[in-house]
Amino acid sequence: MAELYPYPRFSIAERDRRWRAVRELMSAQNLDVIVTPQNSGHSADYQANTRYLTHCGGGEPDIAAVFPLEGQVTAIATSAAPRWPTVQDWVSDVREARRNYGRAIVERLKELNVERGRIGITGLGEVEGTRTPEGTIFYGTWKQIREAFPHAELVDATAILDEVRYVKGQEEIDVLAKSMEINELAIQAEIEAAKAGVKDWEVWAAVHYAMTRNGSELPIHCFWVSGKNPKRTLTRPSMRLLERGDAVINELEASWIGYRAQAVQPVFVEVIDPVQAELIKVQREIFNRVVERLKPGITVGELAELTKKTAESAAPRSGPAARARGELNMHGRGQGDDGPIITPHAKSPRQLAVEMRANMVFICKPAAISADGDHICQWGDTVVVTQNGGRRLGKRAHELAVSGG
Amino acid sequence: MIPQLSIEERDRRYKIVRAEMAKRGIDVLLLPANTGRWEQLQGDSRYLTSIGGFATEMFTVFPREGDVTAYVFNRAGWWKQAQKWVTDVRDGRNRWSQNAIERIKELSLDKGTIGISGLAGLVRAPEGIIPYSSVKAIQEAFPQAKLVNATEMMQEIRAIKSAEEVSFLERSAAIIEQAIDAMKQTAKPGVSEKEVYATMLHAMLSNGGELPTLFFFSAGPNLFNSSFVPTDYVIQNGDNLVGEIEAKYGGYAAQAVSPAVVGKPNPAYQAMVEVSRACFEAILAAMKPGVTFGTLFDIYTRTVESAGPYSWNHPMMHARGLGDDGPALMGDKDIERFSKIELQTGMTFILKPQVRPTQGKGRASIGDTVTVTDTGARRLGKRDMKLLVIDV
Repeated sequence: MAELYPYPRFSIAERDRRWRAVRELMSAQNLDVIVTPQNSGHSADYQANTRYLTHCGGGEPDIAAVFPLEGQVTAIATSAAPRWPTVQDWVSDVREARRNYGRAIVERLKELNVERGRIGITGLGEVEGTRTPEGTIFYGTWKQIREAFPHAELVDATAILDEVRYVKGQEEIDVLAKSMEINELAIQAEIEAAKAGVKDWEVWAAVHYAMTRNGSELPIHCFWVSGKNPKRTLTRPSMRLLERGDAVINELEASWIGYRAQAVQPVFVEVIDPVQAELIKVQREIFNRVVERLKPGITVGELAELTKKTAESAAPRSGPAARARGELNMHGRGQGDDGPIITPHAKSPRQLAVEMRANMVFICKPAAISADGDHICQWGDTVVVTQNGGRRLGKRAHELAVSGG
Repeated sequence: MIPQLSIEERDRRYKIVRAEMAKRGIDVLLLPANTGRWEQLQGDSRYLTSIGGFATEMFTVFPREGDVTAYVFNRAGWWKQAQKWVTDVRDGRNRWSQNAIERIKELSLDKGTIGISGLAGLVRAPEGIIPYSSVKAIQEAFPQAKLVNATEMMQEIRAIKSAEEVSFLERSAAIIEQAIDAMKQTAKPGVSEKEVYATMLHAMLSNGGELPTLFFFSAGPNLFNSSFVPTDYVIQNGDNLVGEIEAKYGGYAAQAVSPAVVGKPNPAYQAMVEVSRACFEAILAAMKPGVTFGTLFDIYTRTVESAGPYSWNHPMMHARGLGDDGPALMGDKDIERFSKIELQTGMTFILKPQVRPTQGKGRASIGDTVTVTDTGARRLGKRDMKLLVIDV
């Protein structure tokens, strides 16, 4: 066994919990093995299943896994020996791919004697992933498996991993709380840096510095934009100089052992927009009512309706927030590309019927929108569904932030 | 708003790519979206649209004749005004096969030859980057079309950098050296590896660097390998600092390998770094248009072997640019493949010859990004090429 580097890790008990849960569903669906393909796309989100099962990951290397119903779990990576046995103690069978992942996957599948078996593949493309409607397995990898196992049945196993990953274990929740703690340190850094005359890019750099020095891995997947009354974030900062009255809006996601909670925190430069100052009152009311009701059994449809009705009752009769409306926006947080995803576009009966379960974790970031649609106020925290309602992982005050005042 | 290359550069690329497409009978190119491996795998798509960075997924449809179409996930409106290369930017929501089918139908190329760059054979993704289900859907939508692999074509075109591309790589090299300066200032006994890493990253980002970027860094006694993720290890007197440092500017990544020691260096390690530097200089001096990779490799092995009880090791050099660039000499097969290939003006590499002792453990390398000019080759970095000794 290689010497383990000083690095945060999950316990062996957590590994066993995950493996047991996945194997129960595999058994029910008569699957002999699941392949989680290499695909470090979208800030390594598309490879979250591999890391979930093997604990190998960090940075953006490509790593695949072969997870049999019975027997040893195999992680497949390039530069495998120097990289991954030092990071985790979950999987001892870490094999070298030399970039040819399909070859190594086939080799392991042959050892497992699944020539006429049912081989599950996550991201096969038959079941839509949260952000991957066409799957995650590359054509060249699939081709090698198909050609090596012409008599095996290839089955999309996306739903199995989705199902298990929707509900978090206590260690996962603790890790997401740590990610949230780092996000809030980054918000402090943002407030301190966002002064008039400073480049937007430099404020963004200060946020990333705060995240990484407090333990966040890369990649960090953040959205960001600054300006006068910005409405929608981008994936990047700009070189513009901040001005008094600007707002910086964001989605910050520090990564702690690959787990990313999210925080949404508008920061105003020196002075808060008076419309936003009114809208945040409505937004806070919506957030609190939704979080209060985040108990097992409540559906997306009910939460959407609650959002709408809360906005109607919370919006004042006059002033800039008069007749403001509310929009629900939530999506799963965890190892990456987590579901379910709940947006204002979730209108199909299937989406509206999705029920909350205990220990699901979401970024909850409803918006309050002015009647003319010209101002959008969004604030968000990562929350855990519990029997008593949602529990926030963040600790900061629910208010708009202002810098340099 | 974001670093941009000129319209002339766009037209230069379009002309070369379309001439190659004509030569190979390709009617339309599909350039898949995949921001994996620090967004290196999406280099082709960005090369022809200038769109990308910060994990922006972008699928490009590039016809031999007609408008180029870029499909982003959901911020098409912003991209239309943020860059000047492509006017037809659409929200595609990662439904890439549907996106491709839509545009191919508009182009009336249902029976055409469709080239996919990234079907197979990328340097670091030999199994390609296009999902299986995307290929299947495109094949089913156009049963009379011919799908061909256009990966090598794009790699060959991108291997030769223009002056504008080299200028972006120079900016990248300058940012890297600011990160190395930050390392010098921060790495002291008692400081964690993570803290040094964060400070170096901050130096990159505050000087215009883009994410994601490949950046490995580790510290430790007699350490030779760097990790993907920095740890809580606390630096001690005498530790080695090793890594591969890339900073991206406008998507372009140069690279530097800058070994350092906190305190007094181990003489054996210092000697290996010196041999690596000697190899670097010998190879650099020989680099010019017309010289083959085989010749450079011979110079490398001869220099190592004549320096004492040392041996060579892969990789010697690999191309740098927008991502997953070739040629890359990273293993024995690459030596076979490229040994007779000649250098050309504009080829740009990280040159980082590795040295090992013939007996015992360890290795060392020092490296910088170099570009081939009409008269030779030049470094893009400016720092002293030597083992960095950090006084304590």
